[in-house]
Amino acid sequence: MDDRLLLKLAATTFLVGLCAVVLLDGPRDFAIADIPDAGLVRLHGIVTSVRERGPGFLFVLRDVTGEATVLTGYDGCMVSTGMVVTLEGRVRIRGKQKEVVAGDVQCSGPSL
Amino acid sequence: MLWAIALGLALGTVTGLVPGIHVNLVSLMVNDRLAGDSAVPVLVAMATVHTFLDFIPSVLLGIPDEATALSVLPAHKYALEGRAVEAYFLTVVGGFSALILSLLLLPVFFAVVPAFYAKPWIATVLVVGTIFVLVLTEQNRRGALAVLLLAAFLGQVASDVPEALFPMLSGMFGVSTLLLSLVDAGGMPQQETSGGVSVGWGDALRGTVAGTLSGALVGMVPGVGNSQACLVSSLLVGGNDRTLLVSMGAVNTANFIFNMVTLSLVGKARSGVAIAVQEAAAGADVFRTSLMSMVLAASLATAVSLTIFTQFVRIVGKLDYRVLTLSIVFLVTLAVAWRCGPAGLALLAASTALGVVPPTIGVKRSLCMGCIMVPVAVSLLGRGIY
Repeated sequence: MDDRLLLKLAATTFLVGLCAVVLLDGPRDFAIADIPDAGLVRLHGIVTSVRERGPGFLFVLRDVTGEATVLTGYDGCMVSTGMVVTLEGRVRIRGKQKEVVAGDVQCSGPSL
Repeated sequence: MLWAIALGLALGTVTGLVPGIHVNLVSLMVNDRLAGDSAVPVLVAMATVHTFLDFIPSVLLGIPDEATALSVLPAHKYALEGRAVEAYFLTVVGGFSALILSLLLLPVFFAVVPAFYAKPWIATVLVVGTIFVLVLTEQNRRGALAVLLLAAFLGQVASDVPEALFPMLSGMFGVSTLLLSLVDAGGMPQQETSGGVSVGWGDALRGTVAGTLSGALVGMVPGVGNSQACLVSSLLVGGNDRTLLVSMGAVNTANFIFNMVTLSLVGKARSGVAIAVQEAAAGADVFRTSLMSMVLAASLATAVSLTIFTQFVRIVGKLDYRVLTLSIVFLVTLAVAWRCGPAGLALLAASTALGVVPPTIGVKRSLCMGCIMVPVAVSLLGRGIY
């Protein structure tokens, strides 16, 4: 094995790794009951209650497995009770509770 | 994630190239400044690049850390023959091949890691066995035993000195080598930097397998570290310097990869960086992120590190070897004084004196690793882990 072959192998591995990052990086879909303790998540569910908190909303999202508390800013869609939403965010721990801080919330309209 | 890996690459380059700036120290700083899962790719990429670049000070300047101490000896020999680039190339081949082999072996290790953690006596057998083999393979066994015991005594005495490994390993493997090279060789010859270095597939394969298995073993087994892996690996490959350098590169990279595997599977952090990753992950499974960061960082490090090294050689080649060597000794002394105080300086002096003994009486300098191995063996046996 010489230095040129090593360079080619390294470049190929780098490109494969880059493709893996592009394809696999980012939030993954989770059921609310399976939300991890930290990290990026994508959740789908129905908004069951909404109230204002600080510079944004605090709302409760429900799917068939359970409920999650979600904190989001005003820059997403206007969330209201009964709306079906898909959100991408970061899970963080506050005390004994897991809270989802949503970076992106997409609303697909009222379900009720 | 890509920006985080890029930041990790930059930080790993600094910790790898600048002796005295330890990757664990920078890990703490990263964790202080970056939030949770953003820190993980930075930490992993930094540590991965570090495992490739920390050979540069070892090969060229003779300044080792725990992971590269044993590579100083064959590497310095290569440097004195004008083949420093070749020596470094061999460690890079080892590091990159270990990445590929480790990825292939991941399913196997996913099966065996939990079993290893259920049998802590493996660490005791590994450490005690290595000590016996080290002494018994020497022709001058009395001399070997004397060096081992002196190193062990020094290691025991040094246990109260903060960051004792830095002055101890720098003295035994670095400063003593540099001072002897001043006396023996009289100067660093012109280094061959025109490229075209190569290694036989047999040497590469033997070194990679020995290094990866040793690195994986100590990456999983509690109580042992990189220095023990290097010793096991050097025993596996015998006296072939080319294979030894490949295996040293492989040990370093494989050890870090299996630190991450162990962290993911049994939740045990086996290095400073692994502890930082564990804290940053806060319980989440970050193995996928870690793996992608490792692959990107290791392949990029492989691609560019030889160029970095060649530039380093050109710069160093323009300097007077005597002045350079004495400057390095002075800088190491300053760094020891800054990090470890007067006790560290005393330890550096004692370790340097001990490091001169093995080549003088015709035994391997790797016996000086008794400073780590014997206290670890005593501790394992004392805790009844056998």
